[in-house]
Formats: sequence, C-alpha cells, structure tokens
Amino acid sequence: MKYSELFCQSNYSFLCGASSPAELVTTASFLGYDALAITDECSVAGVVRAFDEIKHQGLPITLIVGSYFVFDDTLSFVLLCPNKAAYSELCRIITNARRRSEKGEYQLAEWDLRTIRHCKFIWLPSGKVPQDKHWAEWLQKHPSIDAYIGAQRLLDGRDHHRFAHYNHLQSAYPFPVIACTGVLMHHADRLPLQHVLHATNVHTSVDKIGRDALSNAERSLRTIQKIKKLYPEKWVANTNALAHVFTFSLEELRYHYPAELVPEGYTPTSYLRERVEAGIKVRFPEGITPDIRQIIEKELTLIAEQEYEYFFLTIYDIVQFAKRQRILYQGRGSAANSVVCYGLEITAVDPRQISVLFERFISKERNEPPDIDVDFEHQRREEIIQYIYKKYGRERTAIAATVICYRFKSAFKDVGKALGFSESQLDFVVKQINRRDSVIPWKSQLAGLGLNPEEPRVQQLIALTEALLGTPRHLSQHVGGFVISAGPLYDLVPVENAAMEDRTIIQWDKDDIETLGLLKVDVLALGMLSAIRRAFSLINKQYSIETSIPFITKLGDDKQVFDMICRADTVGVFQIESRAQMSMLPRLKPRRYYDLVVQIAIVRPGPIQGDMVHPYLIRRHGNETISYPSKDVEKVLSRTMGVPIFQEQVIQLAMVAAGFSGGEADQLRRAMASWKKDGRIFEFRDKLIKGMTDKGYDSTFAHNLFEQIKGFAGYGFPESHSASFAVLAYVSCWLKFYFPVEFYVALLNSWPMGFYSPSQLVQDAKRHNIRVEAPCVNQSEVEHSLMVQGQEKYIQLGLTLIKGLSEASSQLIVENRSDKGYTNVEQLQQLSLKSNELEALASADALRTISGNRYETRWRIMDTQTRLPLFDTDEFYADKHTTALGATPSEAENLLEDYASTGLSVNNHPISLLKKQHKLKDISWSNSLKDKTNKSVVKVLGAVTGRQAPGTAAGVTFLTLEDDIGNMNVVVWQATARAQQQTFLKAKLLQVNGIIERSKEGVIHIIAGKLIDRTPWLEKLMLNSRDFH
Amino acid sequence: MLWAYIYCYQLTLDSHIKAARNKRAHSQLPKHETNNQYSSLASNTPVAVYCSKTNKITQCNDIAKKEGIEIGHGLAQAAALCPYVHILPFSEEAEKHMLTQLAHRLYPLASDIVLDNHIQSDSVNGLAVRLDNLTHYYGGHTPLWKTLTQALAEADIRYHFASAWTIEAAKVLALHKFNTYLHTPDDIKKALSSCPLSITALSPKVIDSLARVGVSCVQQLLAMPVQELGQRFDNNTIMYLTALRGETFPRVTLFRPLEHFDNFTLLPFDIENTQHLTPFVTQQFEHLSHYLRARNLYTSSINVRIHFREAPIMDINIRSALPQSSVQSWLPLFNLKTENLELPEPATAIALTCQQFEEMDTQNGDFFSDRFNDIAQKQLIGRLNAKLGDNSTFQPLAADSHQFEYMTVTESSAGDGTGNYAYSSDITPTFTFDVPKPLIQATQICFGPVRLHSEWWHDSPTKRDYFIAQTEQCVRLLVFKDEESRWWVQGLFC
Repeated sequence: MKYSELFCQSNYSFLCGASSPAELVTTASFLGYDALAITDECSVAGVVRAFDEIKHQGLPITLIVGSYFVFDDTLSFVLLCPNKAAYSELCRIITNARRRSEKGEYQLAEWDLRTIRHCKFIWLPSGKVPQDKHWAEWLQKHPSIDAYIGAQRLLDGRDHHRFAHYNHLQSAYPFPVIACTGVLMHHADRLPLQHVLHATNVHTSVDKIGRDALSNAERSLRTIQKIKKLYPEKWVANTNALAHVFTFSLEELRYHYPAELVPEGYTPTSYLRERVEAGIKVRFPEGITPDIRQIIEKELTLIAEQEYEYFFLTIYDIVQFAKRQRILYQGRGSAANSVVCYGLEITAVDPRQISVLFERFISKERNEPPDIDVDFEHQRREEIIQYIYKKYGRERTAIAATVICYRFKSAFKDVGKALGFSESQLDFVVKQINRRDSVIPWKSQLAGLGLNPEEPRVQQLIALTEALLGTPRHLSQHVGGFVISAGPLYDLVPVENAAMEDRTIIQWDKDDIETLGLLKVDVLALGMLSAIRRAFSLINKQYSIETSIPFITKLGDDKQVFDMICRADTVGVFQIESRAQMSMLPRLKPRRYYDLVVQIAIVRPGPIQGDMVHPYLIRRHGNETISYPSKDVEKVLSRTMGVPIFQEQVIQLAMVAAGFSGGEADQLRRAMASWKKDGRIFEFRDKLIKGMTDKGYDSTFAHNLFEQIKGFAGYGFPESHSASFAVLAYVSCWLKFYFPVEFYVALLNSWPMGFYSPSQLVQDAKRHNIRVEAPCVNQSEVEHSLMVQGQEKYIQLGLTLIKGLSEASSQLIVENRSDKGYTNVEQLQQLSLKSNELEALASADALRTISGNRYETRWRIMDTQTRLPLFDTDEFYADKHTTALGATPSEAENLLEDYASTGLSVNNHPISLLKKQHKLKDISWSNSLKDKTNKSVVKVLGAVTGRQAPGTAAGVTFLTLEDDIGNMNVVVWQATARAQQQTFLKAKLLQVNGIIERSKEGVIHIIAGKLIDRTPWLEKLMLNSRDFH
Repeated sequence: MLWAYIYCYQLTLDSHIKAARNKRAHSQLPKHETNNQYSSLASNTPVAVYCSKTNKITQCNDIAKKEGIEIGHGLAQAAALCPYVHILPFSEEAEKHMLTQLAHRLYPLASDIVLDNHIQSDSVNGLAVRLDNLTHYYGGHTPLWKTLTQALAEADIRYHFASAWTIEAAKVLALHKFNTYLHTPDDIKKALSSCPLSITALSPKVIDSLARVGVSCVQQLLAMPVQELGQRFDNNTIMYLTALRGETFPRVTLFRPLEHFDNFTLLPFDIENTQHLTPFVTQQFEHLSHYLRARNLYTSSINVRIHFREAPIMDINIRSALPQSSVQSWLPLFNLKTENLELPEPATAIALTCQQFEEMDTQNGDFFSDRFNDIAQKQLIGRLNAKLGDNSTFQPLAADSHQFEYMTVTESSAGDGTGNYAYSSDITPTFTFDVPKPLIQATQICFGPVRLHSEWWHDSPTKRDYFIAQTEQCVRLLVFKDEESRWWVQGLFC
C-alpha cells in the first residue's frame, strides 16, 4: 500500500512544529511514504532544508511544496504546488499576506483566495456546521479552485463527529476527501517538545496548557499500516491519486541575474573579460607577467564554466558606484582574492603578495557558489543599499533571512518556564552556568545551583533543553546579504517584512540560497574603512599626496611599520588591536603581509581550542622541525608550517587525506558552520578517521585532525577573509606609524567602531606625544580636526563630542563664527541655540575663551530672564542682574565635568589626581614595568577598564588596568578571584600586588596576588557616581 | 508644623520574615521541617529582594550586605558575589499591605498620617505623621515620640526616621538615615545641611542641572536666594524647595482608614470556656446587625478575635454561604464553629471585625424565581463549613484537562466556581473513578479507540487507549488498555 502525507508542518512553523524538515523527510522515507508535503504556516522557509536532505541522502521520496494557512476561526486550508506556476502563485499569496502585516505575522484577504488558479486547495473543515456550509458553498462558487477535503483522524475522541461531518460534506459537495494527518512531529517521542513549544507560544506552563494542547502523539508520521486502519480505503486512494500530480521540484527554480548589467553587443563572458582587461591596465600599468596572465585566463574560464559572470558583474557595478561616490570599500571572501577581482577593483589584495590559487577559493568540484563580501564605510553603507534598491527596484531586491534558532540560554529559559520553574530561578541559573567549562558539563553544574539532576523534573529540563537547541525560533534580517533577480523576487521566494522599516526579507537564509544556487551579494559595513578614507583625505589635504589602499600595499612590507606591530603598539588599528591580539604580536613577530594573515586568523577560539597556536609559534621560531605525513598534506599545510590554521586547509585536508569528495567536503564545511546548532559534525567523524587510516595516515593524526575540525567549527576563520582583513590591518598600521595625527583624527571621526572608546584613543594619542585640545566654540569644527601650529600638528576635538549639543547646532556655531571668533555668550545666544545646548557648551568648558569658569557660565545661562525679548543681555552678562554663584570647580570637579560632558578629559586623569592626594611611592606605573625584573613583586594601581574571561583560557580572568600613562594586563587566577571575590567583582579602582611575568618576547603580565579595592579614593574625589569609561 | 517621616526601606523583606516567623509559630512541625522557602530565611542566610522589572536588588539583609551585595546591583552581580543568596521577588502587594497596616496601627495614636506609597520598586515607601498638634495630648515631645516608637516596634518592621518642619524635609532626613527626633528649627536646618541632593525628591534632571554648577548638597541649595532659583527652575521645583526650607506647607491627602466594622469588647472577667463567650458575642452580633441594617448591607464573612494575656491572639473566621445580617443567622454558626474549641488560656477581650460587605442585590429579590432550593443548599453548605471547616465540602467542576482523572475536579464550596470547562470528548462518562479499577468481566467494545498520551510532566505519565465497552448486562463502561496491555475500567455511563 502507498501513502503520501499532504499536510505536515516542520519546526519552521515556529513554536508549533517539533521536528526539522530533514527529520521529517528522512522518517517519511523510512516509513515508505511516496511523498511528503512540507506545509509550514504561511511559509516555505523549511522546504529547502527538506529538499537538501533528500538530495544529499538520496532519499526515495518526493517533496511537495506547500503551505498551511489560517484565514480566520472558520477557515484553514493547505495550498500545494503541482507545478512551477502554482509555486509562483503560492509565493505571491504568502508575500501578499506577509507584507500586509507586522514582522512575523500574516493576514490573508478573500481576494487572495479568489486568485488561486494553480495550487491544489486542501480544505480543513472546522467542524462548525454553519461556517463549513458557508465555505463549502463559497468554494463551489469558485470552480477555478481545485478543492479537496482534508480528513484528519487524530484518535482524540472527536473523530466520530469529524468523520460524520466529512461524509456529509462529501455527499453534499463535489469535493473529494483525502486522508491527511497534519503532522507536527516526525516521531511520537517529540510530543513533550511539542507541548513545550505550545506552552511557550501561549505563555503558560505545560501543566496548564489544558485541552488546547495535543492529547496524544497522533500528529506524528504514522506507519502506512496504521493509516490503512484509520482511514477508509477510498480516502487514502484519493490522497495517492492527488499526490501523483505534484511534479514540481525546487530544482526547477531558475535564478536569473539582472540582465541589464551587460550592455548590448556583449555576452556576459565578453563583457566580464572586457572589464577585467580594462582593470588590469590600471592595476598593472607596467604590464602583467605570463604567470598572472595564465591565472587570469584560468579564472575567467572557470567563471564561464560555472556561469558566474553576472555575479562578478553585479558586484563590479556596485563597487563602481562606490568608487564614483568616493566610498571606500574592500572585497573579501573565497572569490574576492582572485586576480579577476583585483582587476575588477573589487579588492585591493595584490595577488602577487599572496600566492593566490583561485581554485583554493572557488572550486568546480566542490560546486560552492563564489563568496564575495564587500565591506563599505560604515557611515555610508546606506548609500549603497539605496543605490541597489533604486537600480533594481524593491520588487527585485530583498535581503536574505537569518534563521534565529534556540541557543542554550533561550532554550533553557523557555523549557524551564514551560515546566513551571520560576523565572528568577532560571535567570539565576542561566547566568551562573559556565558553558565553556570543559571540566564540569553544564548539566552537572546544575546541582551546585539548587537544581538536583536526579529529580525527574530537572531531568526533563535537561533533556528538553537539549532537544530544543537549534530549533528555529523566528526569521531575522541578514546583516547585508542582498538577493537581486531579473524578475520579481516573489516569483521565486516569498518576501516578508523585516523589523526595520522599509526593509524586506526573503524566507530563505544563506544556506538555502546556496542550496538552490541563488547568489547573494553581501553589502557589509566596516568602521575601519571610514577611518582609512578619512585619513586619506586628511593626508591629501595636508600634503597633496593621493594615497589609497593599493598605493600603500604596493610600497611593500615596511620594516618600521612591522617594528611597531611587533611592539604591540596597535591601539586603534584594524583587527590586531584587542588585548589577546596585542599579547600575541610580540610572540608571533609578524614581519610581512602573510604573517598578518596568519596573526588575524590564529588569535581565534578555533585555533586556540584546537591547540594550534603553540606548535605554530615553536615552528615559526625554528625550535621544531616541520615534517609532513605525506606530500599531499605538505601541499596543504606548508604555508602555515604544517599547522592547520585556516578553515580552507581543514576542508582541503579532508579531501586530500581522507578522500572526501567535493560534495562531502562541502557538507563538512556546512556542518562545521552549524556545529553548535545541530552537532552534525559528528556524522563525519568515522568517515574522516577511516578515510585517513585507509590512506595510510597514523590514527593519532586522524583523531587530532578531527579534534581540530571540531575546534574550528563555528569559530574557524577562512584564509580568504583573513587575507583581506590583513590588508586593512596593515594599511591602518601604516597610517598610524607615518601619519599618526591624521590617523587618530580619522579614527575619532569614524567612532563608534573598533575596540577602544574615544577616551582610550585620546590617551593613546597623548602617549604618542600628540597634543589634544578640548572642544572650544572658537577653535573646534563640528568634527574633530587636524590643526597645524608652526611645525606642530595637533588634534582639535570637535563640537560633536559634547553631549547634548545637536549636530545642527554645532553646524550653526561653526558656520556663523567670524574670523575673530565669538567674544561673548550673547553672540551664541543670538544663534537661537536652545538653552540646554548652551548649558552643555558651558559644562564642556567650550566657552572657556569667552566666559568665566564652567560653573558660573552655566549658572548664568540657566537664568530664564535672559531669554526674555526685552532683556538687555549685555547688561546681564556684565553681572548687573544676576548673582554670581561664587563657585569655582576644583581639579577633580573639572575632571568630572569633562567626563560628564564629553566622555573624556584631555587635561587630567583620575590617577594623576590621586597621585597628588596620596602617597603612592611604592606603586609601579605602567611605563616602569618594563624596567622591573622578571618574577619581581610589584604593586600597580589603575582604573579597571576591562574584565575578560575568555573560554579559551580556563579559569583565568584578564583585567586591564589603566593609569595616567598606559594600560597594564593583570592575570587573575580563579582561586585568587574567588578568595577576594568582592574586590575582584566590584572595584572600579584597583590596586594589585602581584608578580611580574615577562615572556622572552617582552610581553608583560602581572599575576595578581592581593587585590585591594581603592574605589573609596575615587569616591573621595567625588567620582563615585560617574564612570570613567 | 512638625512632621515625622518613617521610611520603611525593606517592607517586602520584613513581610517575608514575618510570614516565616508566623508559619513557624503556627506549624506543628519542628523548626527544621517547616517549609523550605521560609526556613531558608533564617537569620544567618543572605537574603535579597530582586525586582525583575528593573533587574535590581532593592532590599537585602545584613548577611547579604556582608557578602558584598548592595542595593542597585543586578541579579548576575549579586549571584556572582554570593551564589547562595536567597532571592525573593519584590512584592508590591506586600509593600502596600504592610504600609497600610502600619498606618492603621498608628491611627489610634495620631490622626494626621500621610501615606507615601508609590508601589514602585525604586521609589521610597514610607509614611509621615504630624506631631505638633499632638504634643499637648501626650504631655510633650518625648512621651509622644516614645508612644509612637513603641507602636512601631510592635509593628516589627525595619525603618529609618526623622522629624522636620515639613514632610519633604523629614523625608530627606529619614532617607539620610538620620534617625533622630528633632523639633527645633536650628537642629533641623543643621541636619538638612549635611544631606546630599541625590536623596531629595527633586527630579533627576534638576539634580543634574545643579550638580553641573557644583551644587550637590542641600546646604548649598538652602543658601541660595529663592529668587535666583526661581529664575532657573520651574514652579514645582521651587515649591518643593520652599517646602524643604519649611517656608510653605504643600497640601497633603491624609490617610483615612477603610470603613469596616470593628468592635472591641474588654471582658469583665477572664473566660475559660467558649460557651461562656456567647453572651458577649451575641452583644457584638447585635452591634453588627445594627451596623449592617443601617447601611443596607450584608456580609458573608466575619472575624472573631480573642485576646489573651500571654497567648497570641486567636482569630476565628466564620463564613456563611449566603450573605447574612441578623444575629439569628450568625450566632448558630459561631456556636457550631467554637463548640469544640479549647482556649489556650482564659480570654481577656474579644473583637468582632467585618471587612467585606455585600449590598442587597435587587435581582435576587425576585419573587417569581424559585430560590428556595438554592438558598437551602447554600445554608446547608454554610452550616457544614461552620461545623467542619471551610474546606470540608466540595462540589464537582469540569477542568481543563484531557486526562479523565483530572477532567472533573472537586473544588472547595467556598470557592467561586470559576474555570468550569465544558466537556469536549465524545466519551466522557457519567461517573469517573478516581482510581481506575481492573476490568474483570467480559465486555464488548462498541467505540474507540481514543488515545491519550499526556501528563508526561507528572510522576506517572499516561499512555492509554480508551474504549467504550458494554457488559453482558448492557452496562456501558469506559475502559482503557495501558502500555502493558492491561485493561482497566475508568468510568460508567448511565
């Protein structure tokens, strides 16, 4: 006997379906179903996953694409797609229903139903006689709708009534009855999870869900024998007959790139070639070597074979727009580091600097779509987005979705709430659990947090949390992945509203897009590009030198710049500025561009957890000979001294050493990306190890490789991205070294971005002996500016830094400033600035050149009488009307006001004030640590600016202390922290008595012993209520 | 004027501690076996009150403070500092109840009380008592304050206090934990001078504005000419500032106790036997009857409070299924309730209180409706409850559950009967057995199966197939087959 299930919701029917599309098709296939329809509610978000699973597992089952809809209380139905026209119709209906509503909701109109021509309509009668009669008659009046009655038998005590009702409808109206289940689970044992999802959806706990919940697990995939027992033979036969008409497959979807990109008279291939050739002339004015020519030809052939011309041309078009608008950009990704992309000016990575093997990034065998992300200046990315919308129209452009899935915290909390645990208890437990603890798994940690793992309810909490992990929760917007098509997108995939106004998303995420061969263009935002472009402009203005990223990279590796990098003097530069990166720099000692590529990729959880850092450093410094188990492996690993550091290397190893096919390697790559979500990576373990041992590799090597792959999963960094990032890292370092003032000004103007606050950047600038002036109405521009006085260049902070002063008002102040500048407050008042903005100027001490101290000035401005039209403000400011406050801010108060008004102080630091008030002779300051002997005892003092407990460093917290000279890194061991917990957690100003530990590369850490909370000293400075950072 | 401000800074915590203490006192169990939640509130346990709306710790006991927890910490920080801290949720209800109770307690001593209760986790809860008009009744400041502090001590709450010329000034001092009774202007002014502006009721915006010109304490503010301030701040601020200075007295809404019947009778002699209480109780019922008739009210719940010399006060709550007003209705219920009651020691006083009243419903007075059965049933339930206790009679209700055992619940007759659901299954039997019985007779299945797979969250999850089966005697049974293929009878059809 045959059977096909035509009504089945996966977990993409959020908080309803309890099984993934893959689980559903696999189980249906196992049960011998001919076909399975995935019919998520007003969505096709899950169908691609099912399609992918069927394709990769070679399952003998037909996937039917459809969707379930609830029109209102009285009508629900399923639409199924027998052909491509029906699929487009379904996408249109979903799009219309979704676009009418808020994000995540949908609303059908009767008009939508009337327009159904191609889809099969499975009506699910409500059981309410008058209403069903109405809809049966309505369907009868619309013969263009091919309607069927979907009969469900659920063994819930209502079947008797339902069947009588179906029989009546069948005899009264010309709609055949088909058997269906309305599957929500692939297996009956998912019932508890379904109850939890339902309880979460209706905001209650499982013991209160009552009769709204499923009374049994019959809405799971049932055996065909059981179906045969449950339904009349005729109904099952009707189902099977209907199932045969569904011939549509997602493979039929043909994606067409916008054709307007290729001018008349060209083919895509010829136009791409023409653009590349033109670009090469610009990029290689001196001509190209035969090697490069050979690579270009190879790349172009590969692109033509894979029909990727439009993809490259679309990105080319976008970056050309950016170029015309002088928006700085940089391409990265698997295909971006090709000579073609260099020629098309998509990327500035000179292929001669990196031994680019295009196939390494784009592989015919792996059949991966090319990956090119383009980063644009973060402050101007919107211009690019608007250009795309304008050029292709909103019907043809939408952003890819991101499927937000349950992660540990959300899963634990939702399951806990559903099981009736109190929210405050769950919050407490979630905050206390350390998921990175490799010694005590989270389940065992529960015991210490008041939840007994032996108790059945806690066991249910654990089991259901694990079951819920990775279950989709809702769709969100991808950061910048645009899908652009030749025709309306809703022909291809439903489009719905995103949370952000005027943004629409498709119902598929990047994996789905990849599966169906759709190409997305990633338009991303990068703060550093804004900073670099601004720095270039300043240099150009100052010296009339046209600098650019290619200009700097062409100069080659600069010794002095790399010296600076090796000193870890990298505050503010791209990527290599974090504490972890900075402490690695003196160890790795980068001396050339490719070292930076490695440096960026190596300080990541993947390589650190995979224990790759240490072996790499040993080999790099020549302390260990490098050996390879085979020539193949050598080919893959030689550029990183035999240690796999990049994601691509791991994939290549699986291919060359374990004999993975291109398709398998691609699956491994995806499993690595989603390991945390679904743990599918373990499916590859045996195959990988067996493949390697079969090929004669040592089994330890094979096991180690799998561990490394696991370490990489979710955290691995591809070489193709690292290569692009390294360019920006180097360029920013070059700017910092040769044009520091321009660099800091550009960086401050591009903020928010990067790792450091403006206050920390200003401190760093001052450490580099750069003068920094506070905002001033007579000196500052709106933004921060570079000023020149004689031979000295300095930073004049802009009015933008003043909190409470609008940009328009800043503009007004600057535009109306005469050559002499402002001479009194009245002139500013005449600009119609709001009084609170004038007060903000006073508190920031920006009126210091024209008025008294900031307290007095603000006090006078606060006087409402000055705003009266007949009031003589001249007289007022001559102190005749107002009583002076008689207050002068102290040094500490000035500092406090600086921080409150601008977030930083250019004149003082809390530590310098403390130095005046306290005897701090025995304290070592940050600049003196290098003179201390290793292992000597020191006392350091500073404001706590960072507490980091990376999971890669078990039991260690890194504290960053800032004094008035610089930063210090303190290592606090878990036992030390526990013993002095209050001080460790609460101190804003901390004294650490500890031991200096200096590595042979010169990296200094202080190993904390005694922690002393010096916050009361700050409080004495009246600073207790304000944060310095 | 002179006002005292009582700042009750941990009402939720106090309420829990009190509840814990009462529970222990009333429990027959030894101390270590009492309810976990309350037993954990021992004096050596760190306890903090957490408000989930603001994610802040709002109250904590001394042990928690010693562990480093401070008011204003987030939950994560508190938990990090002290992983075994006992967290209580902030309770608006407890705060309100405790404060009103305190006002009731003070009301017999001082008539002008102002409740300062905003029912927000981060706002101040307290009350103000006017003192200047009371001093001559109490013979001076000292006896007056002593009387009040005694009443406050009996209330068993933690508080800070202060007195000043206005509520506003007294509140600032109380928030500053001044805890001193002041009545001379010089003392008050001096005390106010030391207070920071951050604890005043000035808006954060005004406090910030003043801080930005270097004014951060009340002393600086008091020194400023009002005219200068008036040129810079709005009227509300100026009014507050003048109140702080004691120059104006803002209008206040005085606390008025809720209207309820409360009759206290000091017994002329100690009474050991409850039957001997009857005459006095009858007298009180007559007062109640008079009170109710005068207002055209009825009540279905009264409370008789018996006072003793040493033993704690005994409350006897008597409920009637039907609202009553007459002595003849209430006295028999009282006698039934107390006939077996043994007093721990001779009673010295009794009080009758009645808080809930019902108006005569005109619709119920319909002559044509047959209310006899309904009234008779309610009277019976009322009498049974009086005799046996409130939760001794039950009535069946349909519940929101698939499970046959839980489909019909019995709810206390004292309940309101809400949550009655219609039965939805085709096979709901007329009678359901609480505990299924083994099927021991030959039957023939005539309907089914209905599959039930539920209650997995309980200790005994259910996986059953239900059928309607008919015996040879044509009795229809609801039977089921369990996971182990055993057959059981769940109910009967009539």
